[in-house]
Amino acid sequence: MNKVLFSIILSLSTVACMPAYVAVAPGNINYDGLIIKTDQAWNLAPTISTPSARKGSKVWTQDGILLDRIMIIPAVADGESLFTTTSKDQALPAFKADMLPNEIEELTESSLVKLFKEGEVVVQTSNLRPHRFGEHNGLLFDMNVAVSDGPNYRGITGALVVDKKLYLIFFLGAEPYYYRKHIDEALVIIKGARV
Amino acid sequence: MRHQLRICFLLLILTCRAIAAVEFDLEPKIPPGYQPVDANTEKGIWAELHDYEREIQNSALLVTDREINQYVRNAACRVAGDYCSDLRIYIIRNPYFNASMTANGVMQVWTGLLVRVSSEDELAAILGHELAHYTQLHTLERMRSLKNSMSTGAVFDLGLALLTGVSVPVGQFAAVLNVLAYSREQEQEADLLGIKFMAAAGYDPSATIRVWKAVIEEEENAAVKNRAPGIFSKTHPGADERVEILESFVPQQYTNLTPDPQGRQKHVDMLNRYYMMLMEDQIDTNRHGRTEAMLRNHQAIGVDSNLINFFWGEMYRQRNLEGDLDKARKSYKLATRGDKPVAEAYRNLGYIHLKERSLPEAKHYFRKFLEVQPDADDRAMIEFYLQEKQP
Amino acid sequence: MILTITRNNLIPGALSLLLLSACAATSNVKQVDRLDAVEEDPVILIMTPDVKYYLLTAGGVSEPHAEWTEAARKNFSTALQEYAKERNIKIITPPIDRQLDDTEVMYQKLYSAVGTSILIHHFGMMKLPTKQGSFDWSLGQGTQAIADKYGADYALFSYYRDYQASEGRVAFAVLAAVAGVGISTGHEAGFASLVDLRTGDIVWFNQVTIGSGELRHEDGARATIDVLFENMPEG
Repeated sequence: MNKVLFSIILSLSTVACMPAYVAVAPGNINYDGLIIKTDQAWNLAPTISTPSARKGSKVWTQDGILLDRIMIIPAVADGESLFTTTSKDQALPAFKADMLPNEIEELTESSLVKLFKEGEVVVQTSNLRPHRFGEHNGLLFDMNVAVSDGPNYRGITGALVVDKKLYLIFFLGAEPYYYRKHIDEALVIIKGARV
Repeated sequence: MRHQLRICFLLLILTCRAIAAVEFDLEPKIPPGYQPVDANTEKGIWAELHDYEREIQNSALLVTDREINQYVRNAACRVAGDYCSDLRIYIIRNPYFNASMTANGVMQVWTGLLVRVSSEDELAAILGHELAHYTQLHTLERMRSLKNSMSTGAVFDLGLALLTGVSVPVGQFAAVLNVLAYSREQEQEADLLGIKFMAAAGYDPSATIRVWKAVIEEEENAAVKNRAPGIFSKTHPGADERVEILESFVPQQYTNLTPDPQGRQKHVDMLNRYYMMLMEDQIDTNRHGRTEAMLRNHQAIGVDSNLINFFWGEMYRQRNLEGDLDKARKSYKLATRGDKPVAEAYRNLGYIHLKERSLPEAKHYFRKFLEVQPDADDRAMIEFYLQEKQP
Repeated sequence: MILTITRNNLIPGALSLLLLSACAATSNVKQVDRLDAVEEDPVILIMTPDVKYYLLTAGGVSEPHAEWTEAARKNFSTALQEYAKERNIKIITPPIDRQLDDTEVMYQKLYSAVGTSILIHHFGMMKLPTKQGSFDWSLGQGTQAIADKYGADYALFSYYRDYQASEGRVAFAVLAAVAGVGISTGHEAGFASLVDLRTGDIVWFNQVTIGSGELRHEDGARATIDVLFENMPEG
């Protein structure tokens, strides 16, 4: 799959029309019913930069997705996964509408393992706690992602289920420095999300 | 059919004779303390290997916990005998089955292997097998021949990357694994010399048979067979055939096989101590068939039943097929018996009751959970539920 | 057939990294301007280069890295020290084989991500609109710990990667290729930076493509050093 993708991209790079990062102005944005509020400007990544992102999800960054990323995954329906599979035998876990917070935590953890490539990463989640997103109950938890060849990533996830659909946002920042640099605004965005 | 059987039988006898002859002559090709001789070819390889070892040392996936390292190192040293001081052992946190040894003594064992073997003897079988590849210079031979055919220095790194798996994803590079697979002769040599090492160290050689059979069985239990192949299976081909040969050879050569109960207990002790980490990683792979096979094996060898039941619960809960939630509930209940209940089992029972909207039962279990584990890191969430009013 | 190879080459890797080819970007001039007050006698620490190779095709690499022998390493070290002596630049070259401490390992890993981001987003075509062309990437003030340990003002970090195989880092290869940052058919991405250890700021950055083994010759090594330091800030 990577070989095919790579050659497509190589051929793309010779074409004038190139995918690009797009500025996201501060303010309110509605992604599939999930309303995000931010006071800072962000860069929206083109889909080609995040091949595992499912349709409708968005990735924001300020310094580059290898350093900081906010991933917004709205409206995941029963039976769907947080990411798209890149190979048939990847065994990506699926969301179930009756999932409790601890199961959503587990879903995120094992999905991230698959995203970063199993055997190359250790994902740890902790400090699961309730959070009220406006009029809905939801959850927050912390994350730590250790990759075999790269910096350590620390982050946080916020999620809620409304009308049997999962709305999830996570932030990951490289350590040292980039996690600290963006965590405050990331918390504002995640905690302030509304459906 | 009978005609074929006869031929098979004949082949088996011939092979046995051949093996017996080989076994007699099998000795390590290099002495302890071996250093590279050929300046051009091998110095380059040695530098590569040295750099690669440093990479392993810096890896975020390296397991540094003392007890587990001591356990594996002691086993490796015992099997290695005089070669003990040539070895550096590294345990990597990777949920799949693999072990490897580079041409300069770096031995790598994945946690997925430790949780799949049933005894120290079986661990010794794998370590002895890898040690034999090392003493017979198989790794070096493979890399050299590949180097010649590819005419590029890249082959060393290729081999290393795949063998060690430190920065190589499992399941990829299947085509290349075929290229790097040991030959049948090399595999047989490693089996036989490995057994020799084991037996000399006082381990039970029949453990070799059991461990290869377990590898085969797990492949059979996997829903996705051979599409996400284990690196180990691919680089060590022909498990079926070799098990057949070993089954006739081992009892022939070693008539007084007395499995050491100590060997099994030490391994079970290690599993009990690290079970939560090892099996959590396995659950995260979301491969339920394989998980089931492992749990059954752990049951058979005597791992703490509370721990096993907890992970039966976890597996059922994740799998979530018709009737699984009920099975999960039963398993979690079993995991809380006796004086060493698994705290998380209480919590997950609480969650199951929450799902079924029986709030009083849920609260009962949540309270028990916090009793047993007052420093639970998801305390905030549990307390939220303890405050919930029945709607 | 995709093959993966890994190698942690040391100083020689850095050298060939720093060989400028026709494709190399020249925006490094901007970075020099970031230095407002250079130390009178800057002391530069040479960090262990971080080099890994991933072959795309079997036998596709023309330069067998096993031939980057100890002679090449010696040449580089000698040429570097000669150059530094002539220009009165103080460099610190810790032993190649040393085990890095946790802090150095941590910054080496962070640098790989920062440098690649710079390659993609600053030099490449995937600009980040919010940056508006400015260059503010940094490793953060924690690098002061390295300054304290070695008594250095700046550190030279270098990095080289070829095609990536893993999903989590597919961003590297995909982005690097799409960004069109001078990736030849060898699909390489390499860069070197000078980091101000007091602030962690990257004050000089240069992107390079792989060299062709000039390290094996003494004059080749020397010529490379000249180029390497050509645009570097001096006291």
